[in-house]
Amino acid sequence: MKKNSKLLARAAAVALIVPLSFFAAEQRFKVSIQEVLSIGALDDEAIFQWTGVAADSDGFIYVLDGLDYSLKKFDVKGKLVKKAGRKGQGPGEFMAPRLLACSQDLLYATDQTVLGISVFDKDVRFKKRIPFSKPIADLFVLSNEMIVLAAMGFPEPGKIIVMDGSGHIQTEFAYYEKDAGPMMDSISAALDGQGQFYLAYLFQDRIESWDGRAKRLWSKSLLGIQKVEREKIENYLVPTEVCYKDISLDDRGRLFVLAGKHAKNPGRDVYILSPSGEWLSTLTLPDTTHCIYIDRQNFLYARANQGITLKKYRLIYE
Amino acid sequence: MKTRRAKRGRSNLASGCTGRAWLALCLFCLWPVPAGLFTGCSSPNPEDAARPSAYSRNRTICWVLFDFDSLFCSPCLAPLLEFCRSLPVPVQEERVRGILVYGARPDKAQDGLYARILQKKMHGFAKANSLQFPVVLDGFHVFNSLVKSSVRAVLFDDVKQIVKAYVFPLQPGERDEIMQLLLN
Repeated sequence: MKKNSKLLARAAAVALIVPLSFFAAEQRFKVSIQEVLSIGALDDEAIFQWTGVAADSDGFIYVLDGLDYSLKKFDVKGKLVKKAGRKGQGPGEFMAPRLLACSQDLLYATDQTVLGISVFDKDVRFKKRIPFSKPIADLFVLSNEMIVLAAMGFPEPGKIIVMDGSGHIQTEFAYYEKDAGPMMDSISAALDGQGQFYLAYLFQDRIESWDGRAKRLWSKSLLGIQKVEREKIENYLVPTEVCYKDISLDDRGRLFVLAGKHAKNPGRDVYILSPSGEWLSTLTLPDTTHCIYIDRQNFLYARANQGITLKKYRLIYE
Repeated sequence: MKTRRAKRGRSNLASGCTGRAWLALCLFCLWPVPAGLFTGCSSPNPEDAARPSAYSRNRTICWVLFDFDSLFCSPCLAPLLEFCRSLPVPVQEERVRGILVYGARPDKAQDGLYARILQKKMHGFAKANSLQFPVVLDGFHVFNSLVKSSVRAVLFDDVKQIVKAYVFPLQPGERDEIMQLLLN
């Protein structure tokens, strides 16, 4: 009887300790932010509608502006030091600038309505255009002459493509085989130091990890969404609800996933996951943003004031 | 200048002008925004403003109405921009007025801030596209239903008794029709 009592007491202790330690572990990890820089105000001409952002190792910040069709360079204090581009489809011109990535010496910019990738140097001088025949969903760089892009390809599946600076494809793999309709393969992507890809689907409740040999390592759903709403436009069913807006990695390889419409705070909640896909914490940004970007110094950049302001935050882990 | 036109408008009403022309006149006389606001052009020289241009005697006013979302859609606004760029600068400044239409915000408390943000965006867009006419925000959402997914121009002329609306892209002949009314 005495033995049984001891066993029961131990079982009860274990039953209590396990959930307590689980929640305790969740709550111990908390990420907060501290604003260190704000660029663009109501009464200046710094930014009219930023779309893409990148920062280099010297602290310069590069911004694509969709309303004045430009690429802008800001110094560490947020002062505009260079500006390039104008409306058009010629060299160094933009119609709808969108994504921006930065290597040691070069900047890579995409345009929503002009195919290919425009390459600029750090003084925002146009250098060349890398030809590419499909819309680009996301873009990042491995080195000065090696870039990775996610290509949307309806009716073909979306692909991750590694190409050199001349546009020669080195390797590629399809990340979305099933033909589920246009835009369903829209993703935001990130790549860690071990060559592992992370994909967040814009119109599906799916976050995935792939290795460099085209093998899916894991797939997660955080929102519990079975089916996103779609609208018929001409002959196509087009999704209308964004599940995840963007994905970025911090210096420890943790995933920061910006949530869309179904989040408690749409466009503000950032789910933080471990490299193996475990949910660690949720960070809520003060203002809605269309994207998040974490630079090599572990600063997080996000939008404020509907895109006329770029905020730079220090990430604080508690 | 505006006072003189207002007086002339009232005398037209007294002599029996139509309701549409009266509406056009009222709207024009109550026009709240000084030329140059939200446009890419700098403030006009006061001496230039005092000097009447060749188009000052023309009574035709052209409103162009477009939706905020169309600022991000190059093909949507291309016909309007092309048309505006074909107009001489004084005509844009004196005879054309833009109206930026946008959806009502659920949070009324933020209306003022949102309007200022839109003004800044419109200014950047106008500057980058060399638009020389003033643009007003449709803060009371008067034209939301009219502009739904289309860009429109509305011509008013109290002397010629014209109130006419056009949808961009313009049909053959419409561009010349508007140009003729604005330039002559």
